Amino acid sequence: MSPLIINGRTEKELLKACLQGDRLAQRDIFNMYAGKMMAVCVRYSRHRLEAEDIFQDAFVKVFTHLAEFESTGSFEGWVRRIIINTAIKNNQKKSVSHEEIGLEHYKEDSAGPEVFSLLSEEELIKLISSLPDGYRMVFNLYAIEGYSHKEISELLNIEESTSRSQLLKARRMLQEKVHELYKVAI
Amino acid sequence: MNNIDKIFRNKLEHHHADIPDKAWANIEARLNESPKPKNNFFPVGMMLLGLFLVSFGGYLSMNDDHLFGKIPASSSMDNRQQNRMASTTSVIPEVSKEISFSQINLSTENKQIRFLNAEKPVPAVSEAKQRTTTTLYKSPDNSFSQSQAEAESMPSTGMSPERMLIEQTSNNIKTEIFRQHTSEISYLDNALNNNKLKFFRSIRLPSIFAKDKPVKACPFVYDYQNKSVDVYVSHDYSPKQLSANDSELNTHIDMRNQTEKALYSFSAGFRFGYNLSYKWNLHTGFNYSQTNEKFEYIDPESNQTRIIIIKDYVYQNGKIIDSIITQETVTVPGTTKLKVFNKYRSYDIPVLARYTLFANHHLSLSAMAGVYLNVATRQKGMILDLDNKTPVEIYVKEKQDNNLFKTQLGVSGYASFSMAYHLTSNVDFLLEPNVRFQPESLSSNHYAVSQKMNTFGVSTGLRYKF
Repeated sequence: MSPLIINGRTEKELLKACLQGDRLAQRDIFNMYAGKMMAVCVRYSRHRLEAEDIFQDAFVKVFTHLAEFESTGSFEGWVRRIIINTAIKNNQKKSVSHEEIGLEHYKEDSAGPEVFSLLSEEELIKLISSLPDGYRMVFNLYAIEGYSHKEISELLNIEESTSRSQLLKARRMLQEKVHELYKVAI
Repeated sequence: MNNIDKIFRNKLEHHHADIPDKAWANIEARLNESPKPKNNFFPVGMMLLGLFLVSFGGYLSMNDDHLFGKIPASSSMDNRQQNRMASTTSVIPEVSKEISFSQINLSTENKQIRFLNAEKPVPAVSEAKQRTTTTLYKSPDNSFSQSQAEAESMPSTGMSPERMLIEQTSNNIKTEIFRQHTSEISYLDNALNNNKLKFFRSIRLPSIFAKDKPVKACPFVYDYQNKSVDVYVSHDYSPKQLSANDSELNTHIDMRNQTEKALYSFSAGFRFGYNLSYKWNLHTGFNYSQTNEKFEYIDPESNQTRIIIIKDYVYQNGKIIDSIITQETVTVPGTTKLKVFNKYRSYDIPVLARYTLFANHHLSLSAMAGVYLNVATRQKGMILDLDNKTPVEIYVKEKQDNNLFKTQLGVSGYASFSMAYHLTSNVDFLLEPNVRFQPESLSSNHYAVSQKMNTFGVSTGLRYKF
């Protein structure tokens, strides 16, 4: 596969220029990944403003720590990890206490998985954003990013069992929310 | 991963969201505030530079003669080779010109040619190099096969058989070179060494730093620094010499010596230095000295005068109607103990010459001598008067006829042995045992007892060279 070329420069050349402090190269790199990374930020945030803060913080880190990037791996993967770590730290900084939501609040009748496939990306993101912070983090990390429960427990500094439990609760909550959505629609 | 997870992943994994307005502008503004990202190549470059400097410093320390323009003695050459080199340089200068620096590193390979083709006439250097490559790698003859067999029988050293063969062959050749004294070998060997010598001569330190400057004095490796500033503190001891022409005053001198004890003294100052010539430096600046003494005197015949006031009352019918006051003076014999710390202060301008005796990369040793031009002296404290009974103050504010001490002492001599340890290229730590001779008497000319003070001290300080 031929390398992606932006303004006549490959990603590798752009990264080299970024290391020299070339603002144009930094902007090109930013434009290359901004849309995809903003989507990640939105998924990890409760609302858009929070996502924008994470997005900007993370990209500043990307450019200030660019020298630490080892070119043996994927740059996109590296940026994504920074975004996720920034989102996790941002969540940990929140002074609000964790929301305790028991499963007894949910009804037994919930939507099946096939209902989710009918939803658009924006609707899915809205569903994720509506989850409590802890559930949202675990669900994003496990379901979308593909982290294991062990990795999640280390990232979020929680027990593995907590990660499993929160994932289960997140799924049920998503099903319940979709069920409510469809009931309204009907 | 269940079905819900899969749906979310498939739909959101590569999802794009709208980029917030002015996001890049905000990031750029924050990047401008934050320090510039480190350049990956900077530490590597610094390491290479450090490695080069260490190697270069090591080379110079092993071959100090390079700094002074002498011909270095190559460790790889014996005396015969050096003699041959000298003779070859004069006979065949055109060959030296033909050999480039890159070819110098190939001297071992050139020697191999002579071994493998000893029966053939000596070719030109470039031709010889080419032939070596062909002989060893493309068309091995009998000698190559023999050497290869030997190489394969050697224990493994991590080298390839070809490389081992070359190493072994090289060693054999070196032995052979010293055994056979053919004129051809001498020709090549000397020509190559001569060029190596020329190369190292060309990178001598003085040629880098001292463009058109004459060679300056110590420290030799930093001879381009011909100015310096010293800041120092000297820890002194100043014994006192009292003398008088009148022998009757010997008692008084004894009393003075008994009552006045030398204490820790010090001097401090700064001086500028300038390299006058190869090893000579001139220094001048300002020096402050303070000599401390303790004056302790017990007057055994000291009398204390006491006034006694007596008040008598006149009574009448049990009431006080008047009072009478009478006063008496009583003298009580006793002793008086006096303890005073005397200070002799001196403000001087040193004018000193320093001669460098020895210097290397770490240390320089110098002898220093000169004069201290006294600007002013001040004294404070007490001494015994000539009557040996009365302590008198020696405090002098300004020049007056009745002062016990002078306010200006003229010239005194100074000598020291200066050791400078090079902390950095610009900063030296100084350790300087010194002595200062005071020919002029501190006491006034009209005072019967002459007082001189010679000072012995150890000075410590820093020298900044620029």
